[in-house]
Amino acid sequence: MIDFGLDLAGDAERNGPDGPTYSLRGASLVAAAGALVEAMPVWIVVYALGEAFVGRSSALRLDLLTFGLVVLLAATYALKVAGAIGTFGATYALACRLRLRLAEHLRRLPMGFWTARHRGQIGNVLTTQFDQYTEIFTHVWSMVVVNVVYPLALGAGLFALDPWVALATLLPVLPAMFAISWTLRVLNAASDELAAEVGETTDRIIEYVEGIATFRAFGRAGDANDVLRDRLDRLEATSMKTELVAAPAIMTYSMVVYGGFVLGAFAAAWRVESGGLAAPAAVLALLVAALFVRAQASLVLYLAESRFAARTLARVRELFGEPEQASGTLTPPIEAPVLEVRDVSFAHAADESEEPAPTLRRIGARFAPGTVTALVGPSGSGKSTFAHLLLRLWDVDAGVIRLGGFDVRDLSLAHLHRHVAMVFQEVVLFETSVLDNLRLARPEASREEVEAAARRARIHDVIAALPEGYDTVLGPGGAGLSGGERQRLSIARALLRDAPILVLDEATASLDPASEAAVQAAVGELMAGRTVVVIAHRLWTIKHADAILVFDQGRIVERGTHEALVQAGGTYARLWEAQQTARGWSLSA
Amino acid sequence: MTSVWSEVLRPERARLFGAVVLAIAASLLELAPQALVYVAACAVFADVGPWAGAGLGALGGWALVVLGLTLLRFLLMGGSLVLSHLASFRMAKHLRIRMARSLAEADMRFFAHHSSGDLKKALLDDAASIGGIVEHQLPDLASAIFVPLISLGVLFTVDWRLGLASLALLPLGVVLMALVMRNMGPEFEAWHATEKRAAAAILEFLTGIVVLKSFDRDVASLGDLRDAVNGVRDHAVRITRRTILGYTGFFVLFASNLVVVLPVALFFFREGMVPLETAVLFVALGTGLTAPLLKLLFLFGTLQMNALRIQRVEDVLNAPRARDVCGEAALPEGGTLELRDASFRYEEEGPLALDGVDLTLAPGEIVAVVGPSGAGKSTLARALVGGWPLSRGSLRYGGVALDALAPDARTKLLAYVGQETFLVRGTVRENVAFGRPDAPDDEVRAALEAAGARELVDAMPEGLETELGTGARGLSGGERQRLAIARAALHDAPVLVLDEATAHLDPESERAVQEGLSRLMRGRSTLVIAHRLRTVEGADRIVVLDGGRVVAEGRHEALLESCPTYRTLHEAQEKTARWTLGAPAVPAPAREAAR
Repeated sequence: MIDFGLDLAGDAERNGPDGPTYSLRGASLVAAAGALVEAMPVWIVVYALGEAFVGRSSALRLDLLTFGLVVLLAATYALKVAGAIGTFGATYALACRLRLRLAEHLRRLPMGFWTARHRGQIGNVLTTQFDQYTEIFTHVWSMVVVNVVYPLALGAGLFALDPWVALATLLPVLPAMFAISWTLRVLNAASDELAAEVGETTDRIIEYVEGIATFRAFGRAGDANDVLRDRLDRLEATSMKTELVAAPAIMTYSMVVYGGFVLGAFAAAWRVESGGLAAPAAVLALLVAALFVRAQASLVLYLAESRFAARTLARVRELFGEPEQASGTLTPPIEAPVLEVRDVSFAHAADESEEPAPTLRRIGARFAPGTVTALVGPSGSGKSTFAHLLLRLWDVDAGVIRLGGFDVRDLSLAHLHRHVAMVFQEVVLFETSVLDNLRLARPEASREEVEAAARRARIHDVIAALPEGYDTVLGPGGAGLSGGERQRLSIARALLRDAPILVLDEATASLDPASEAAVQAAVGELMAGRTVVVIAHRLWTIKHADAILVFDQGRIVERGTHEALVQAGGTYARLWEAQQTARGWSLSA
Repeated sequence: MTSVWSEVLRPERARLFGAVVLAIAASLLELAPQALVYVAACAVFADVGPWAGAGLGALGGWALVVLGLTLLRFLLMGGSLVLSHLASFRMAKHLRIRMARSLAEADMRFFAHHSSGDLKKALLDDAASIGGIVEHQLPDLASAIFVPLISLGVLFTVDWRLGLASLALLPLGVVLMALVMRNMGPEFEAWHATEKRAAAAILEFLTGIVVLKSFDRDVASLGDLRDAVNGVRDHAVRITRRTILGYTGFFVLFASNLVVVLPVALFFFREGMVPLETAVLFVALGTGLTAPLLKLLFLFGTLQMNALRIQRVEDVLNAPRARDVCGEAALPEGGTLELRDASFRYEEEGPLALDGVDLTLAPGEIVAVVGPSGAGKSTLARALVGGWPLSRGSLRYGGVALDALAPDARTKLLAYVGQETFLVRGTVRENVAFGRPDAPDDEVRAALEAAGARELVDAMPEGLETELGTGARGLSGGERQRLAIARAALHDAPVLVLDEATAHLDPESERAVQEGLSRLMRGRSTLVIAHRLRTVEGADRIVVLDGGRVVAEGRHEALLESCPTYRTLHEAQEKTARWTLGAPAVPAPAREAAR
């Protein structure tokens, strides 16, 4: 009915390499034992009041009775403490292990899985939702255990007092369970609707905040405000509806549970009438029944709360269900790093909200060692997708890509990436030292090797000027570095990586001329002696490439050298002409 | 500030009061089963009183009354929740509206320090959470306080000595609570810092996942990520171990009145000090007496967690307002735009980003602003079109200060086309007619035509009425820019500001954008923030900025002669423009020969 993720928990969760281990199952058992012990004072009450009811109170040993209550209290306390430590320890250890396992799983997904939108959603799951999960689960789980076991203990005792009263009181438990699942269904449906409304509102709020300068410039701030207000009205209405729609279900559950008490009272009256039950015993049975329904009634609240934790788990399971990219096992020596693409077709299901990825149709190409090949074409023509296939960011649907004669799918991914490296347009820097950022490409590189790579990438002087040189910890996302500096750091990484084949995504953002010159020098350094496949946006930079592949609508429509293509007068010539015009364009009145 | 909060709260007073009263009434009815037990005890044992000697014959009838009372209780509770939720949602909404209004009037510099993510958090999450305080907490709190109080009242009326006995464990519980709560503030902050650190490490991991993967770095090898995530677990366990004894202690104590009540009640009964039914009443009612007080603890936690949220919301509500000066002057015909001695800083005490800039733009003139990165080019554009306030100097058009213009005249004066194009979710038409929502279709089409975007829009499934979706994700950079140009064309402002930081578009769309711009500029004064000198070599005048100051001004040829900054820029550009991939030093024919 509700996913508590118990199957995800191991038998024991070790807390750190030498830390204590916690078991969720063990902790739950302890909590259950605690609930049982917590119910026992009720039996002392039943016994003591029972004696008093039949006039034997003077025989009661109040000192022993008090002692017994205190011992039970102490035992309850000890068991609850132990249960709580176990539950907290096991839950946080579980969450921690799940998060890291999920992170590793995500890393093994085909890289094409990573669209910006996915990243946001998954980030939310791994951070906020996990925090919410642990917070809810630690508090709710033991309460669920207690509110199941405690009423059960009372119910069992009620049977001992009088089976008919007990039956009558417990009878509605079953329908109550149906009411719980109804409640949860209604709540889930309602919160789905609410989530959609919240999503809409989020989009509108972000649009409002990001567009404020534009709204003002066009004198539309008031209208934007009205649109937002409208959206907020709808959010309010939907929120209210969500609350209202679940109310009857929750109330039904509680009424059914309390109905048990009423039935029990009827049964007691009937039993007393028919002489099966003494009136004092009936009073005791009512007392126990009252305690029973109270405990039973609170269960639904905890279950309702735990559904938020269940929601996180559902997302986690969904992500674990994404198929990992199978890595091959071969790690043969690659003698001649020739990359060959044979008759490759590829289409991937694009996220509806993303720019649709182009479909590649029957593409062939060969990249000989030491050559420079440029991929050009209008945006959306498939040149980037093609480059990504070379690195196995995706796997081809048909055809084959070979490295040194081996199907890239047979090679281990690590082995493939030792031979084919990509310099991404978007430079990713981590909040750690410059040294570690560079060493990402080759963890075992010595400091000297790192420095040598930085020098060749024309970035050493910039690093040396930082407050702590190579040990300077970069800001989040490499904040504080200019675009050109980031690109050169990324080139330094590629130099350290030293792969014989390089896939280069030429940056589209404009740099100021001085920093552009430095980047160009670094790229020149990086390319020397390697096989280069470059996704080019500025055609004049590839005039001297050994081959140019022209992409259009997922096909290679032309190939050849710059001169030959310009002469041929096809797509490339058209693009070249357009760019020449664009380059020569000048503002004039 | 307090006035905002009271303004948000005041309209909800009646609802909140109603919610509290209904919640208390509902909680009292929760005691109905206990009351029935008492009545039954009286009926069986009592010698005096209304139910004395009644026996259990009427038990079924009483039980029906309990059922009725329970139904009533849920209705009251439902009513209370409806009122409190209504109040909560309305409060959240009003907070959001106030924040939105505050942002609409805020000094633009405020946005330099607050990311749209942070602002979204304040408007959406924080407002909801603050509203949430009254949603459940307030009614809960009221019943947590009033139910024990009223029960106590009943118990004390029946027998004050037993009443005292049912409170016996309270002081101990309170002491424990105080002990646990001591120093929880800093602990709370430390815990949040730990969670935040883990979140940052995870988001960083996700951002870099493709790079990490291409370098074959698995999660096990990422020490920072592992440490941060493990840190959450270790910190949680540490806090648990430190607080669990006290925490569980008062939980157990608050729910264990029975330990005292039962022996004392039995003793009193045995000594003939109370009748049996009274003993039953205390056992039934006194046992759970103090348990609701635990909710006070949760409230404490909630308030603490909301302190930060309240801070964030107040930040937005208190955002410094833009200097809201406007006059009633109409837009002069064909004037000159004059910036005199303009200075600007991003922070009140910060360095000058613009330092005494003078600049004129005559009707029909094309003026380019160039300079090395960080020279203040983009700041200048912001000062002109973004509503970023000058800290000194003046901005006039046709001799009239911009501050003296009527709001709509000011809006009509300037159009801006930049690298980033902001598109709203809506139709193409709505986006193009952004500055003139009532523009007729043929004008919209003409604007699209001028921007070279006519074909683009005609190819869309529903033409002008095509929905673009959030952020218009399906459009390429060049397509977005052409829509922006169409928007500016329809806006038809006499002065155009272009931030020509065009990312490298693909060649054909770059040409289309340029053609659109050329048409747009016709008949207007244009100020170009230029990143590529070549584009603006033909401008009427080029202004060279460096370090926030104008260092030279003139035509291309003259500047090459006289201005070293300009010359350096020009040479660097010439060098990078000649560069080609794959032939760094050797010219191509020589390389061919070498092979």
